[in-house]
Parts: sequence; structure tokens; C-alpha cells
Amino acid sequence: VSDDVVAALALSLRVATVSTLVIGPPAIALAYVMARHAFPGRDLVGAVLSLPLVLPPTAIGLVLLRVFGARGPLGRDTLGIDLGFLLTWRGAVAACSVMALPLVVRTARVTFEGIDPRYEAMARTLGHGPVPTFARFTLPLAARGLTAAAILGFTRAVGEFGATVMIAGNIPGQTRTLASGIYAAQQAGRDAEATVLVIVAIAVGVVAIFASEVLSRPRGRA
Amino acid sequence: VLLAIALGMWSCGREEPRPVLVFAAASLEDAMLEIAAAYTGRTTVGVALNTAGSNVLARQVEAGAPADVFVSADAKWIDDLIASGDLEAASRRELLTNRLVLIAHRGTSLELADLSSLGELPFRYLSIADPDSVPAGRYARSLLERTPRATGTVWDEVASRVAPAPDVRAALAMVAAEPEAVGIVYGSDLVTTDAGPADGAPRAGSVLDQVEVLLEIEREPDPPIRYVGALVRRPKGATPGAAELLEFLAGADARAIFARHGFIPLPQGP
Repeated sequence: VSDDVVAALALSLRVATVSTLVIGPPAIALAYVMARHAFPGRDLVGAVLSLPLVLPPTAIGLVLLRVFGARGPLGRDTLGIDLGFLLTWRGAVAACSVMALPLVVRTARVTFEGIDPRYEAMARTLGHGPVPTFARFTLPLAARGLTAAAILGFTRAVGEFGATVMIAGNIPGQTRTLASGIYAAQQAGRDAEATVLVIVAIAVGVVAIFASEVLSRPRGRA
Repeated sequence: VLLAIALGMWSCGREEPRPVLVFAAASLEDAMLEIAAAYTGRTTVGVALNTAGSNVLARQVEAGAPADVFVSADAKWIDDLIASGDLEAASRRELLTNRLVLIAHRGTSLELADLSSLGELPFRYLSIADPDSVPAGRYARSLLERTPRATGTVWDEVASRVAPAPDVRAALAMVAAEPEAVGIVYGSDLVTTDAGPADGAPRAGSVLDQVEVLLEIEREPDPPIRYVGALVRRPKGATPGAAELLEFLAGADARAIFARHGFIPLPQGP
């Protein structure tokens, strides 16, 4: 049993870490553009991005299964190659990325909106181009908020079950995460194993949320 | 974003050769793990197991997931997938059945001699798996609908007290938690191999410790409870060992393991 717990924990952490890294750059780009530019359709983009917060995870899982299914738009029959998302840990990464993206974008967007655009204007006046301005002024100012956004996305990914189990399945040692392990143990009536997994999940959650609180707290205050 | 993820991760390397991949209803997991180990011990063919609700597994098979064998807790999903050409019709095997059991909170004062008087009991909730989507709930409803009363059926009398649960284990957990609830679950749900620390007795405080059997239901619902297995049709031909594994599931060794976990193996044809 303990080997299974370790494998599920390791997979959950791996999937959550990779998901956070995968969605980081696009989430920061989206959040920055949405914070700084009132382009047409901005609210629509925001609404579509937020859908995973509103829809049941199973619905997201069904959509992913349709998209990556053999006959779907990114499926092996359509593309002629197998992207390898069905029943793999990459499928879990895809599901967790979609589910975590809105939380990361929203948190990052609020962070960017809290930075006075005049700092960026000043940097530009001093002769810095837009990219160096973003990299050397905006990003460092946003670092704390972006870290909190990443941790929020990470915790969402660790807890994700409904969408993940649809596309990645629930194969012990391959795609069984903490969340799907809890489901499987409970379904099979292995109460003791389910309890152990729940305690591990609580520990991961408490550490991550605590880290997020500490990092998002303004420096110098208690 | 999806496309970026897809392209990025596709380059991450290829999979090693796969063992036989079995999709099995979540309730079968313990038994299937034992059977898989026995099969691998006999043949050296590796077996991997993917477990979820049969409806989720069916959707995965439909989407072209690389499954080799599908064992569903319900004939309906198997027959739908045979009709859509995703499963090999000739490989269909009815492997197991199960009993339905009426349970109550441990120490209950309720007593019941016959299912037909269920509606007279003063319980507050009848906890069953969702009868619209989950096989266990559908079987329970069908059974009550086919138990006649002077006017109408037992289902008519209890329908307003039904508390649908997302799956049969959740229905069991509800009865364990709520003294005013009774529930209908599978006989196999009451069999545990999750032994306590030392002496093999059920762990104190476990769900099974909180419930007791009110009535063993002898009659079969209609359609009857059937766990059905079939081979998944693979574009590049069957994985070696898949057909043999399905055969093994119907054999004496597997039947003994299923029976130990509370399932009832069905007689197999010649």
C-alpha cells in the first residue's frame, strides 16, 4: 500500500509542477495583455478562459476526450500521429492545465493591474524597449503576486480529479494521482488506504496554501 | 494553448511496449489486481488496470483509448460499444453477477421480513446509487418497481424518500453516517479484504462497522445484474495475451478470486 501512496504522491506533484510550468508563460502573457490593453472582445476572452471554474470538471474531461480522442481534432486518426494524451500522465497534465489556467490568469491579471503603468512608461522614456521593460521592471514588481498565482494553479492541479480521470484514466503506477487514488480506494472499499491518501493530500494542500499566504503577504508586515 | 501543450509534450519521448491494458469497473479493482497478478505469474504477460465508473470507461473506449479488455458492471455499455464497432462482438462474455442487499445503520430497530413491506418502515432516506445513471441504482429501482403492492409498487411508496448517491459506495457511506437511512447496495460491497492491523477483523470505525444487513434480496432485477467482458477492437490488431486474459477471467482461478471478493461467477458455456 505504501508504495502506491508514494507513487500517487509523486505523480500528483509531477503533474502539478509540469502543469504549472506549462501554463505559466501563456497565463502571464494573457494576464498582462488583458490587464494593460482594452482590446475588443477582452471580456469575452475572460469569460471563455473562466469556463473551467464554472463547468463541472467532468464536462471539461468530456471535451478533452473529444478533442484528443482518436477521431477528435487532435486525435491520432485525424493527425496521423498519436500525441499520446489518452491514458497517459501527459493527459493528466492537459486536464490539470486547463482546470488551473483560469485561476492563474485571474491572479496574475490582478497583480499586473496593481502595478502603476507609469513605472513602465518611465522605463520606456529612459530608452528601454517593451520587452526589456517587461522583463526588468514589470516582472520583478509582479514577482510576489505571480508566485502566489503559480501556487494557486499548483494546488488546483494537485486536487484535480474529474477532468483528469476522464482523459488520463486511473492506472495504478501510471496515471493514478492522489485524487484518483482516493476515489479508487473508496470505490473498492479500502477505507484504510483512502484515509492515508486523504491525510497526504491534506498535508500537501496545507503546505502549498501556507506557502502561498506567506509569499503573497506584503513584505515587512506580519 | 492545448496545441502548444500537445506539440511540446509529444516530443518528450515514446512509450515502451505496453502490457495488456484492462478497463474494469471500479468495484472490481481488488479482485482484478489479484487476478492480474495470477495471470502474470502464469504467463509472464504484464497486465495494467484502469478503473473508473463503467460509464467513464465506456467513453474512453469510444474515444479510442488504447484498452485491450473492457469489463463493465453493466451489459448496456458493452452492447452499445459492440453496436458502435468499438468492441469485438464475438468476444462478449457474461462473467459475474451480484446480489442486492438492503442495509441499515448498525443497531437499527428496523426489521423487515419481505421487500414488499419496505414502504411501511419509518426510515427517512432510502440511499441508493443514482437510478438514472449508475447500474447499482438502476438495478435497485427496477427491483422495487417489480415488487407489487395492493396499489402500485414498492417504488411508488418509497420514491419520495430516495436519496440518490453518485455511486454505490457513497450510498453505503450515507447509511453508515445517517441512522435514519436505509440503503440498497451490492452484496460484494459488504465483503472486505481491508483487514485490521493484526487479527484480520474489519477495522474499527470503518464504513462496514457502521451498517448491518436488514434483508438479503434473493430476486433478480430485470434486466439482471451482469458484469460483462469483451475485447476492444484495436486498429493494429489485438495485443498479445489480451484474448487469453479474457479467457482467464472466466476460468476457475479467477472465479475463485471473484467469489472471495463477494461476486458471483456465472456458469460459462462450453
